[in-house]
Parts: sequence; C-alpha cells; structure tokens
Amino acid sequence: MSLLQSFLQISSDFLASSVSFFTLGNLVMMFAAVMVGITFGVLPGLSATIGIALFTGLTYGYSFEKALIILLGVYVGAIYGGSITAILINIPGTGSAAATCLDGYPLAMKGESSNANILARISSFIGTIFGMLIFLFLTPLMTKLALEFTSPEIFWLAIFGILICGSISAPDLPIKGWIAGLIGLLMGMVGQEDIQGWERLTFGVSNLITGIPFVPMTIAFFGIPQIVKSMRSAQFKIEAKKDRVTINIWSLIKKNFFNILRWGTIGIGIGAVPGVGENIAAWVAYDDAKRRHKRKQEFGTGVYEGVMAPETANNAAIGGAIIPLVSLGIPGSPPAAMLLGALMLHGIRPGPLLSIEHPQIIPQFAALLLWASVFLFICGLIITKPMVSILKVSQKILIPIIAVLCVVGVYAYNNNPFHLLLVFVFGVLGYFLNKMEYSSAPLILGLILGNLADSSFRRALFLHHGNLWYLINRPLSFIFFAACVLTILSQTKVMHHVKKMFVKK
Amino acid sequence: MKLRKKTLMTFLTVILLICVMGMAVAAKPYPNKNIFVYIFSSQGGGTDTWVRHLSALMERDLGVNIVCNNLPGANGGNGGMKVWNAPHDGYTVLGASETSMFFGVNDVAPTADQWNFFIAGGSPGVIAVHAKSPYQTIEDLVEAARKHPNQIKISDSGRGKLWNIKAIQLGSAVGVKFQHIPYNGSGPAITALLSREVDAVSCSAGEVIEYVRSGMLRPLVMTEVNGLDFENFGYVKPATDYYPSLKNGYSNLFQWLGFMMPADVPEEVVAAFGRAFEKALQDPKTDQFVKTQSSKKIGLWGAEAKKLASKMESVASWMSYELGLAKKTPTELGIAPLE
Repeated sequence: MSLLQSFLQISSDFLASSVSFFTLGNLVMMFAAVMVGITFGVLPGLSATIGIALFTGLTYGYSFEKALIILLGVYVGAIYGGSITAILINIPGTGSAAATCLDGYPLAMKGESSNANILARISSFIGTIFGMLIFLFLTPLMTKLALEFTSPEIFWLAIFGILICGSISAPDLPIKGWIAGLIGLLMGMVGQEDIQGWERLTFGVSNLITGIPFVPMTIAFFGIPQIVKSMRSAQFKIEAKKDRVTINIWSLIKKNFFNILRWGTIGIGIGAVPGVGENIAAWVAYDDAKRRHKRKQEFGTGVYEGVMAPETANNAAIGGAIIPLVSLGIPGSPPAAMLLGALMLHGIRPGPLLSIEHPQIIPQFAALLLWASVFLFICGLIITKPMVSILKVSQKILIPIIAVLCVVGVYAYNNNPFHLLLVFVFGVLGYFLNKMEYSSAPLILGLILGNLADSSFRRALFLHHGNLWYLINRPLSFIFFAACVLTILSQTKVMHHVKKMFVKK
Repeated sequence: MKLRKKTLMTFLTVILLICVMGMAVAAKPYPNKNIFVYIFSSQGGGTDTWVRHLSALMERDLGVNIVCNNLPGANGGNGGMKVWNAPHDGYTVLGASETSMFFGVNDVAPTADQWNFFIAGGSPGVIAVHAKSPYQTIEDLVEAARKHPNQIKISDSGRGKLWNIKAIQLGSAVGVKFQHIPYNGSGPAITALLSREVDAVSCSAGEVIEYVRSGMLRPLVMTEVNGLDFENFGYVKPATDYYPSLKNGYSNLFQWLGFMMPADVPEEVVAAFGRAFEKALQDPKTDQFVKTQSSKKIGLWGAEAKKLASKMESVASWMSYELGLAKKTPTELGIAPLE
C-alpha cells in the first residue's frame, strides 16, 4: 500500500515537474543545449565530459534550474551525437559511440546511412527514457546494488569486458581480436598505477604519468586510419543517393522489444556502478546483441541490432550514472563526475540527504531527462539530413576538414600539445594495424579496461592479504565470475562438447 | 612616388603612435592586461573550485580579466612548468594545492624556494568509520590495530598523497600498523567505506560532511591540531589531543588551495596580487563559499606563506622518500628534514 502511495507520489511530482518545465524560455534553452551537446558529440575528441565541463563554467552566473537544463541537455545530446560521426565516417564522435562504428559504418557503406541514423536516434531516445524511468522509480534499490560493487565485482566486470575482445575478431583470424586487445591492455598499464603509486612504462616522460588518455586514442585508432585510407582511395564508398529510410522501424522495435529492455538494463546497471560509465555499457550491450542474434557471424557487416544495442545502452547509462550521484553524491560515470562539480559550484552538495531535504530533485532531474530526450529526437531529425549531405562534398575538401577537426578536438581535450604527439605516433600504428586487418575496437576496449582490471584485482588481493578466495566469495562476485567462465568456455570447443553430451542423453 | 611617400609617412606615424601607447601602458602599474591562471588539476575538483571562486572576486578588484585554464597531468607538473616557462611578470599564475609540495621529489617542477605562495584555505583532515562500525573512538580503532596488526583497513586517495601520509603519521605516532588501501581519489575511497570494503577512511572533512550529516558515517578524529564541529554530530577532537607527539607532523602538513608565482616576480607585482587576494578572502561571498565547501580560511601570502611552504615541503618530501616514492631524494634537492 505504501509502495503504491509512494509510486503515485513520485508520478505526480514527475508530471508536475514535466509540465512546469513547459515555458518558452525553458524550451528554447533545452533545444539549444541539446543542439550544442549533439555538436560536441559529433566533433571527434569533444565528448560529453568536456561539454559539461565547459558549460559548468559558462553557467556559473545562471540560476541552478537553468544551469541544470543546459548541462543535462548537453549530456544527453553529446552521448547521442557521437553515433552520427561513427555511422557516417567511421570515427566515433565520443568514446561511448566506438561500438556503434562496428555495424553503423558498414550500414552506411551499404547505402543505408539513413536507416542507421534513425535507428541510433530512436535507440538513444528509448534508452534515455528507460534510464530516466528506472532513475525515477528505483533509485533506492539501484543505490543498494551499486554499493554491492566492491573491488572483486569491479574486477570481474572488467574481465567480462575484456573477454568481449575475443568476439570482435577480424574476419580472417579470430586471434587478431585478442592481439589488438592485448596491445590495448598494455597501453592501459602506462602511467602511475593506483596501488603503489609506481610509474610503469613512462620512460621518464612526465606527461605519461597520468597514463595514455582515452579520448585522443579514439582519434588515433579510429580517426587517423580512416583519414589516411580515405585520402588514399579515390572516392568515399558511401552511396549517398539512397539516403531514405527503407526499414519499418516499428516492426524492428517490436521484434527486439525484450532485447531493448535488456540492453537498457545493461546500460543502467553499468552506468550506476561508480567509475565505469557509458563507454563500457555500449560494448557490453553490443556483445550481448551479438551473442543472442541468430546471424552472429553477420555482425560487423551492418546488422541493425548492432547499432541499436550500444546506442540504447549508452543513453540508458545516463539515467544509471546519475542514480548514485543524486542518492549518494557518488558519480557513476566521468560526465556525471563533471555534473557533481557543477552542482557543488551552485552550492548544492550531493549526498545521502539531498533527495530527502530536496524531495523535488529526483522528479526534476527526471523531467529534464524526459525533455532532453524529446529534443534529442527533434534535433537529431534536423541535424542528420544536412550531415548526410555533407558526404556528397568532394572528399578532397571533406577529409582535410575532418583531419583538422580531429586535431583541434585532441588539443581541446586537455590543452596539452603532448597529446597531439601521442595521436600522431599511435595514429601511424593504428593505420598499419588497420591495414593488417586488426580491428581497433578491442584495442580501445583494452585501453579503457586495462587499468581498471589491474587496480581492482590488486586492490582486492591487497585487502585480503593475497587470498584468492575473496575474489569469488560474495554472491555478486561469484555470479560475475561464473559469467566470465561461461564466456571463455563458449569461445572454445569445450562448450560444444558439453552441449552435445546433454543432447545425447 | 608621391603615394609611396604618403604611405610611408602614415606607416611611421602609426608606429610612433603604437610606441607611445606602449610606453603609456608600460608605465601603468600592475596589472594593466589580462592575467592568466593555469590550474594544475581538472575541472570540478577542490583546487579548481577555489581558484575560480577567488579569481572571480579578484578580477573586480584588479580591474583586469583573470582567465582560468586547467592544465592537469604529471602530478601538477604540466601546469607548474607552463607557469615557470612563461615570463616571471605576474601575468601567468599557477592555481595550485598542497600537491605542489611534492614538485621536487616527483621531479616535475621547481621546489618551494623558487615560488611565492598565496595560501587561501583548505578542508581539514578526518578519519571516519561506517555508522555500523564497532569502533566508537579513535582509541578503539588504534587498539584494534594493536591487537591485529595490518588488519585494520584505512582507505585513502592514493599512496604518497596527503591523506595517505596523514594516516601513516597517525599509525607511526602511536606505534601500530594500519593497512592503508589506496584508491584513485577520495571519492572512491569514501565509496569503499560506504560499501564496507574498508574499516575507515582518511580524507578531508568537506568530503565526508554530507555522510556524517545523514548518519551514514561517523568521524572519529581530526588529523589536525584543531578540532571541528560537524553539523548533526558535534565536536570532533584533533588527534593531537590523544597523541601529542603528532603535533609537529600535523601542524606542518595540511590541505591548502590557492595560487603560486615564481619567486623572482617583482616585489610590487607580488604585493599588488597579494592585496587583491586578501580582499577576496575578506569578501562575504568567500565566507559563504567556505561554508558550502566545509573548509577553513588560511589567508597567508608573502614571507609567512613561504616559511610555511618550506616546512610543509620538508615533511612531504621526507615522507615521500620514506615511502620509496621520491624520484629525487630530499638531500639531492637540498631539503633538510624538519627538526
């Protein structure tokens, strides 16, 4: 009964917040914020994190409500915007869109760029709404779950992510996925490690102490190879003439209804775990889509679900990431960490009492997410048409512009010229790896997860004086451990034999 | 021909005008152009928030724009070297924290004797436990560690960082061994305590204040020489009340946030900047800011700040050396141990 009451209370608060948002000023501001967010997402190197950081400073003088409209609008817009660049030119506009490249770009090459774009947009929309609903109604439950993630759980989650490398293998040799993944893991080890504070593989370069940054590397391994390849070949292979939507969106959504729910749940769950974030959510959802699909082997050649899964998950992760932010003051992802800084700048200290002392804050955040996703849909509609027609521009003009934007994006990331050097060096490596048909995706995955897996593993051991038993002695850590083992077995022939045995009996 | 002469004359006049204007500008006292502040850590952190707050107030007083940029990385060395390599004229300033006390041993930027300091304020250190923890006082915690050496886990923001050193100082002063578990920042260190992965956390009061207020965490002791009143909890005594031998270590190492300028910046420039700095600290807006940040004002610059910084650098450097983290030994750098 009290559950029903609180449900009704939250619903009515949410509706009230959503309706009271409806003023011309707010609508214009949200429209502009989402547009700016999408632009940040589209431009390689500029991400949701940077967008929020920039606008935190710019909205210092605004009232808290107005600042929040702008920041959430930028957040939602940027996470979606990355997919546009991923689909059209095979360069993820943000890290969270890296998984979208895998099937989005092949779709565009087949002349289905409009199909891929509308799928990305609708998936992002559904994902944001789904994340918002869970955030609105299940925050207390999700907070409890998030606090169950101690070092062993995070370690197994990281391992689970790393295992995805094996399933994104190159067409000729499956081992190539692992080789690229290991290069990424090695790169993830560079820098001052978290446990002993020791510097690894820095070769005395002080700029490497903080490690190899992730955002510039997405440019180096996706952007540079693509730019060089396009400059070498005579023409872009995209057939822009067939730029109409040719699929029945509704039947596709209906067919994948339960899949979408699962991808959304993956996104929210991973988003809510402190310190993981949208990037990994997208990968895990992509892997899930591939595993469950009837035509697994066609993934990577342009499967609709390969675009829908990561885009649903990375936008659902927004709702997930702000769950611990609002309920505990702990950000679930890097952009949410920026949001935390912004709240503090406005004199609001997120913490366990925030949602008790300001009961309106959860419905308010949720209402803003709802409107942001509505504007995501509208802005996306406005922006993709001209974006697609950009591809009709001669590549002699287009590619140099993209190259310049990439370099500017890398510099804007931290105002550090050293990162330009890094992008150049690793870009050359990226080009040759690409020529030898190594996928960049597992490499980027290894880079994100390398340090996370390493530090959480060693911290877990350190906590329990080297006793391995503590890695699997909690219910959640055991479940993740079992999932990892099953994943490994399913990639070998053992599983096949086991299945056969059972079938015979 | 005529035209050329005319052009030449115009050109010369313009040059002359620029020169005159330049002289006029040069004659005007500091500051007569925009000041650039490079913050050596990322957006949204403590250093960033403090420096941006003070800059906004100081720019009104100085009558020029103060442009803040973040240059994180290399343990603050990226920002430090940017300012060091710029002209030492007071127009390029570093936004810094006590992390700069490790510049020398980390070998990323010049040591404290090469800088001027403007120490604004900071949040005091605390050791807190979970509300459900059996440890009611710091003595309980110390006693438990005495019975079970290396079993009582205290999380902190990273090995060799301020809060790690504070916890180590406590352990060695009372002669017990805690197990120090480093995390990547204070946020994850506190999260680890909330999920009860560790027994206690060593961090700043500002970082735990909301959890104390809600009753999720319980502060045991301030790792400072002064106590602190926690809202909804009450007064928490300083560790020096229990263990007086901590006084030397704790009084010479604490969190501070503020500005740095190379030591050879002209004196009148330092004074002008310092006066504006002092005014900004006295502004009622700063009182409000300090309250929301649950920090304390320090407000030191000039000779006093330099003296404090050199003491602090000594404690920090020798501690870092004992932990085996120093890339350059304090002796090499000419940093004497504190008596």
